[in-house]
Amino acid sequence: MMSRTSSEPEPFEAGDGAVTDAAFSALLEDSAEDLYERAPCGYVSTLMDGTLAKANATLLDWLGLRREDVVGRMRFSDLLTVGGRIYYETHFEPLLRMKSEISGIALELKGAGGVRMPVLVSAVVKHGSEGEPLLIRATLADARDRRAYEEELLRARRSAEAARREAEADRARLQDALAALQQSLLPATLPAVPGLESASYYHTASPDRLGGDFYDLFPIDGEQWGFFLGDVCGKGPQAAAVTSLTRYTLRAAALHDPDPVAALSTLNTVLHERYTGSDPRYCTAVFGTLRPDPETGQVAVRVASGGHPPALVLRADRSTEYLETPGGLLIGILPNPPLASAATILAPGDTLLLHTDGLTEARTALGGRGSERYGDDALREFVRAAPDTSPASLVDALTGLLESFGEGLDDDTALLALGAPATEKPV
Amino acid sequence: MTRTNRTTSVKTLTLAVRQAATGPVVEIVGDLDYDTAADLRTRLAGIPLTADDRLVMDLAGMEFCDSTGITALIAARNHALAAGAGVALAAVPEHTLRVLHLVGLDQVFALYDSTAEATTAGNRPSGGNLPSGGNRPDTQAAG
Amino acid sequence: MDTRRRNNVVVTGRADGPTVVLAHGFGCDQNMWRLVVPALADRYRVVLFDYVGSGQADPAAWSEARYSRLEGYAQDVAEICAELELRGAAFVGHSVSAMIGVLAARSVPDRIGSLVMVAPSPRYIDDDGYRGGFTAEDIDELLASLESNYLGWSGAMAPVIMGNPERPELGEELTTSFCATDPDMARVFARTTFLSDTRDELKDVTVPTLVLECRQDAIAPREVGAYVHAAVPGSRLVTLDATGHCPQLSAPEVTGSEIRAFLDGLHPADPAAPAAPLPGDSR
Repeated sequence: MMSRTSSEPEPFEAGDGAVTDAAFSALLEDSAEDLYERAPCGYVSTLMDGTLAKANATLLDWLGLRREDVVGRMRFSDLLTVGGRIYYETHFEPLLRMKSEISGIALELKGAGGVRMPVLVSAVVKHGSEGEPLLIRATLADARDRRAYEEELLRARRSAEAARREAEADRARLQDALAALQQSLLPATLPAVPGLESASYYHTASPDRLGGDFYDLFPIDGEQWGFFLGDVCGKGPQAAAVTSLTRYTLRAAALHDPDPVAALSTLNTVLHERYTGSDPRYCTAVFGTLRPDPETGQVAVRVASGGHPPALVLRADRSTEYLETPGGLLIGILPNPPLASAATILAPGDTLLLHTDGLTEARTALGGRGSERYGDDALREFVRAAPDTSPASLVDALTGLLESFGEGLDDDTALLALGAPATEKPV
Repeated sequence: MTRTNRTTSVKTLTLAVRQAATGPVVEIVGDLDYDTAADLRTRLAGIPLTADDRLVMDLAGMEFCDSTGITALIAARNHALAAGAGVALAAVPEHTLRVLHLVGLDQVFALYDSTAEATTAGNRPSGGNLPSGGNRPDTQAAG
Repeated sequence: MDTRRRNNVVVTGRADGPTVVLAHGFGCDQNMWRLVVPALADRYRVVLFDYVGSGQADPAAWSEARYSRLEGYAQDVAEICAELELRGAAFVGHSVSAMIGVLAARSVPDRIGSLVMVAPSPRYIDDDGYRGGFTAEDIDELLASLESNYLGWSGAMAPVIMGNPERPELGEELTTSFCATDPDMARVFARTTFLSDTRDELKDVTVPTLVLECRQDAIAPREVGAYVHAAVPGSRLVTLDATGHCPQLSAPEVTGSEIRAFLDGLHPADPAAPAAPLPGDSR
């Protein structure tokens, strides 16, 4: 192989120069006219008003027209389809007038017998010595392959757009369905209960995944209210189905027998009967009843727990205690599980806090390896330091705490706080 | 209970099954979580059990167990009970033990400090290291 | 909504002169008028703008529903007139804009006092005794060709524009924007334009009207110019010695001077009035 950097012209040998030059000249002489007429593109020259003054044989062949029918008789736009003609008049010509040159315009020629041919047109205006426009020269390149390619692209683009629209619509439908389902798992707002303050918060770890935490507050009879908070194992549609079953089972059970242990037992029977074998589904839950006393401003609380972290009581004096329910088992595992119950009285200014373990299991930066959990003790300290002991204030502060965990909070978290209204502002 | 995300999403569960005097022992090494729990379930389904067996799950090498992992352990228990066999957890890591205690499962599983103890016929469960309410042997839980 | 920004409104010429609004048609943008503005600017306040969907108008203002009817474009015009607080302005509309001007003059009669219709057509499709120059099949073909030129259209105009050393008066911004129309919006404008039939509107024109047609125009043929002239009461028809559909480009001098003459006729110079306010005059 000869080096490309050689200064010698590769194909020619010294001594043959005269012969080669002669062959070149012959070629060039021959091609001046022939190159124009038989070039692999169409050539036209027109007057400024578009009247065709000159056209090469290639173009005439494409069109199937005779020179004498074209030159001096037709205008450039007459060679175009109607669509192309309008495009020419509204885009091509204005541009050419403004710029004196344009290139790469896609137009379609219409020839004898309805022959159509896509071309790419480039044109320049030739000016006279005074700068006045004299005529337009244009080349027309065969764009049949390009057009076919473009149509292929267009088809692909259209089908991609259609697929995208469909996917977006599917996604929107799915999200609507998820939202509707999620709304069925939680109350939109907590009901107003005379003689009771309440607040709640739900943190969703992932908008695409239905959460498994739940809570509710609802009337049982004229004097009693029921509440619950819990956590279904797992996530996604299956977990949501269990959550929904759990919520409505507990509501119905409480109407039948408001005793907390009885309500959780009913739920256990339902879950255990429904999900057994290799696909166990279970939940942890605290269920309770509230009986506000309008005379004293106190609220009597009874709770039962199945495997759930105990409720925390924040007293008006900022002392804290757990409403211990030891030995309560996950709901849905055993046919007759141990369920623990407890009771307390909320005096004015006291608040009962229920939460799921997303809060205490949140990873904090303190752990170094990222495995340190927030923990029960930290929560207790935090609750004690809340601005005031009302449910709204407590949930507000805890919401801020959850936000501060950032990435460390990777689970859904539910909060429900229930309190006896303070008779006067705590000092 | 529904925590499923971890900082790594690589499946890191290794399972090994061996036969001891008391029956099969399943060694669970790595993370038992949302991504891997199905592996355990599948593996368990292929382990034949008789009424004389005690299915022991050796958790000494288990580094992480979330609620889905707990569910898989419960599924293992159901599998054992269906065959009339017993079930035990051995060498339960502290955090998991705490969770088991919290949700009351320490009452459901027989807990042993080590696999050696769990596979010694006639040994009584230790109940793990946490001070808690009384443990009940696995025979209590028959459904 | 900021109408000036939305429609890229440009005000030039003599600030205290009578106002003339120059409106572009389907295809390009306000730069179509570049060569005509100098003929008007010394005496008239010249307002230029781009319809939404064209030129440098705000693409965020696009609404397919609104701009699928000529009334939507006329609403642009009415809103620009209101924004500039115009009274009795002259509206010069090219091509489809001539008919948009008719619609706008009807909706805001106080603001538009005269019309210049450049290469107008109230109906492009032939129709029982009316000759618009196109058959229904032609227009279908145009619209189909717009579809098939989707890529060609969007791609073709961008590389076109390379600056023009021979015409230094054409600014740099022109070289990047002229005719660079969003193909989706252009399709809607084309459909709206070429399927429109506004012949019935012409008889209701009440303002002084000048119709300018070209000697040879493939889009608005002479018959159509004559039709418009006959239908608009009291209108004047001038046939420009120009070819093509855009006389403001192919024959800017004669186009400019005809518009100027028409406007001057409406606003006769007051020999007593000074050409410019004297120092100390309050405005």
